[in-house]
Amino acid sequence: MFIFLPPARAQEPTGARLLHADREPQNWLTYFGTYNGWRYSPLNKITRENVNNLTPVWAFHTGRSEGGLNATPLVMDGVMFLVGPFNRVFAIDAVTGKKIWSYFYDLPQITIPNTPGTRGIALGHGMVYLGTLDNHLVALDARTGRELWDVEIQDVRQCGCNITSAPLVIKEKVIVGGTGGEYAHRSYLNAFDAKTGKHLWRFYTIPAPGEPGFETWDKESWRYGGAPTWLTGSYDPELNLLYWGVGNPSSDFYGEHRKGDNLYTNSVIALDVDTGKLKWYFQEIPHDLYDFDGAYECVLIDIERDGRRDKLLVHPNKGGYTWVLDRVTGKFVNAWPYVDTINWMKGVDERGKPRDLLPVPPTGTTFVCPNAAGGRSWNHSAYSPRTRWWYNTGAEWCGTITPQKEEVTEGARIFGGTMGFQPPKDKPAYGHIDAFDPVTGRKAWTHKTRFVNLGSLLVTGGDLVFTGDIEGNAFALDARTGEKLWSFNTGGGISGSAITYEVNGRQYVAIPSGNGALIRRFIPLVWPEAKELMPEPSSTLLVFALADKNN
Amino acid sequence: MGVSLLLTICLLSKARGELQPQIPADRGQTQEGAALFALNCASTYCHGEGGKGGGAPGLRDRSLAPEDLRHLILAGIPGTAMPSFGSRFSSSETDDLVAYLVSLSSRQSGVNDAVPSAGTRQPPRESTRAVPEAESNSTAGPTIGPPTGRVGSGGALVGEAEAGRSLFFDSAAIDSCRVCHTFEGRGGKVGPDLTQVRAKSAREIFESIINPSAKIDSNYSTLNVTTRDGRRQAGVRRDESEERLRLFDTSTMPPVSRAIPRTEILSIERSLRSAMPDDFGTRFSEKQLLDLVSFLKASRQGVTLEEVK
Repeated sequence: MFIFLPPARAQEPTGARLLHADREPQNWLTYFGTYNGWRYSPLNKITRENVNNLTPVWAFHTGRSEGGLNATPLVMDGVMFLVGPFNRVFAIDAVTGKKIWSYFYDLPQITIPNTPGTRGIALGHGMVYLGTLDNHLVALDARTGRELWDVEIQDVRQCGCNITSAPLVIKEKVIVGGTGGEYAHRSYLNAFDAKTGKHLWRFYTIPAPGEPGFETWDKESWRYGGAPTWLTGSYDPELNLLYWGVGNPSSDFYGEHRKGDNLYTNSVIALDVDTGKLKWYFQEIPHDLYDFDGAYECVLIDIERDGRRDKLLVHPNKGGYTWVLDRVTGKFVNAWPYVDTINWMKGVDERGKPRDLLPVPPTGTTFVCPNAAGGRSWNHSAYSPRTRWWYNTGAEWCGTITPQKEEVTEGARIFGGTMGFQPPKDKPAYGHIDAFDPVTGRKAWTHKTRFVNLGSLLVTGGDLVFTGDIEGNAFALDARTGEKLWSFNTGGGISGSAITYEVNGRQYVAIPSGNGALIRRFIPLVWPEAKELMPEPSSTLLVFALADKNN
Repeated sequence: MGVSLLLTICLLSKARGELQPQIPADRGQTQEGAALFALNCASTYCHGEGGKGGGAPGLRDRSLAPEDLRHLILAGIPGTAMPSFGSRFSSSETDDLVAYLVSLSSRQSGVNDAVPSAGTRQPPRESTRAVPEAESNSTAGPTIGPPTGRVGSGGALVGEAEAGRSLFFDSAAIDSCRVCHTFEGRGGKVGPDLTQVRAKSAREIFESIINPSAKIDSNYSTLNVTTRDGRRQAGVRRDESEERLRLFDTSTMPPVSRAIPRTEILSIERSLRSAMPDDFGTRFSEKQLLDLVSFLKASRQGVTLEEVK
């Protein structure tokens, strides 16, 4: 195959190096830092004691700001790789902030589904992988930013789907999911040869006629039933299993035309990464009518108890519940709420299925808590092996759903109704950041916030949790108590994912600033004062370090 | 879903202070527009009920010029989530929608008003709408009429255009026709746009499917590129710049666009073979081939085997 690969030295990271990313705490090589979805870094030079000396050392503007800076930066050997809105990719000197190269993907002048923001890119085999807003997967030379290959997964005009999340490189493959939960589309997950772009396998998240699970779709609804794979998955090398959260069925709120459980919507799926074959699945919400995606991150945690090691998967659902599964078999272990205000179900039964689901009649308006933006947005949680706590955000808020029948046309938007946003009926709306025992859900501490939080969490070996708020403040909490120890006004709402890295012995914290998320427009419907307090959309990366360069 | 807020606001506010709303307050027209708006535009992901509270820009508290509105509705805003409704709304429906949007502009965003809900909505004025046949199913291409494929009176096979459309756009197949070819604005750009291929005879179309190398459009012939290190790459030219040539490598599906630096290219030879697979004659049944030809010919009655052989 014909690829102009960079020299061997620059062909890093190989699949093997990515596999052991935990051995390189100075770098942040994959979307979640490591394949287990932890968003944890062992770096510990910045501590609870000295974090108040954290100071900005450089900033980087990506240019166009619509969509905001939702990305997770990657760092390899002193070079940072960042994607901004409209698929602009940059390589940056991680010490100085100086641009090394840029690549602006040539987006066609067509309707782009979703926001122009992107959540991340992937590194591997000397390349940078970008999923585009018009549904292409592009490989760039990591050394020069030059385009090497580009493959169109499906015409965005036919499917209404595109890529807003980071691809995942595993061994010799690059795996990429897509959007499509609000469009008449049958979603999938694709694997490509990481070097050549050759398509290797596709897993449809809606079974075809003759496949198990097809019977959970009514009539022709399987053809356009959504089930998107719009966030990045996790991987267990020991089991060689790829875990991916699957989103909502379409249309979101009207389900008369798709009666049945609608597999594999709102599920966690486990695939053999070599073949793309389904090993197991677990559906959290059958026949979803609330737009409660199951697309969020899969956090892989091993728990030692009673002399054995349980390989678990912790999965927050948009509806405010966290499911805990045995990731070897997919068997249900536990489920517990990460927000207090939940009215759409009354707990789960012994199989982990929701009890007494709140009906959403096809006519009329239903009051639902949390609202369709979720008990939490997509922005990720973090797990620390030091505290053995899982850190997560939550919002106490509600809303309404008013279903409406819509004509189904392939690739066209199909919400099936409208949603509203309101405070809970019995208390003011608020947000919080919490530390939980990931298996039992026992809450170790809670840090209450005025508004919903849209920044991912990062937890470090210095026992600090880094994130930020919609008013533009980047901040650090004590991972052991939840106490706020440091804060800095970045000037842009925080909706991306902070990372930490080290170059020449100095630890840095990179925090994306600039909130252009769709949800931004809904927040003032619940907190009117937020309208003035939220900065305008922007897209800037701020990098911090301790003032003393010796640290 | 999202929007390019700045662009939209910029375009809409261009008219502020320059043009005042000029659509007369035709109450019936406004009501029709409100119904259309409720159905197509009022999702919370888009402009929100009554033009407020949605993810896309609010439509109140501003002077909206009818000309700009009409243009935005019909053309959409490329590069954003605002689609073109040019093929979805008739001219009179667009007028209704513009009238409603202009009426919105005088309302304050905090004021509630009676937007027809789904339950009380008046149906669009279908009876007054003259829909050209090609428009009525425009999101999926031209209307071909009811499926007519069948076994003809003499027992001969007859193609079904709708079945051909399904085959052409089959999203479950990694190598269906749409992967390489565009039809009515959808599909790939590896091979020729087939929207106008209906001008050719059924026989020519059939022949080009089963024997693609027999007659090649020179813009899509296969190029064999040899580079200085002795490697060879075959593919269809995608585009070129001063720095590089991009080829669609069709040896794998979906095709992979490969960029080759100009400085590395030693020679480029044009091949007489088409990059299109030459096994469709055996991969598809005769019936499927007739379906495809019937679709591409926009044939109401369906193309028969006799017409292509």
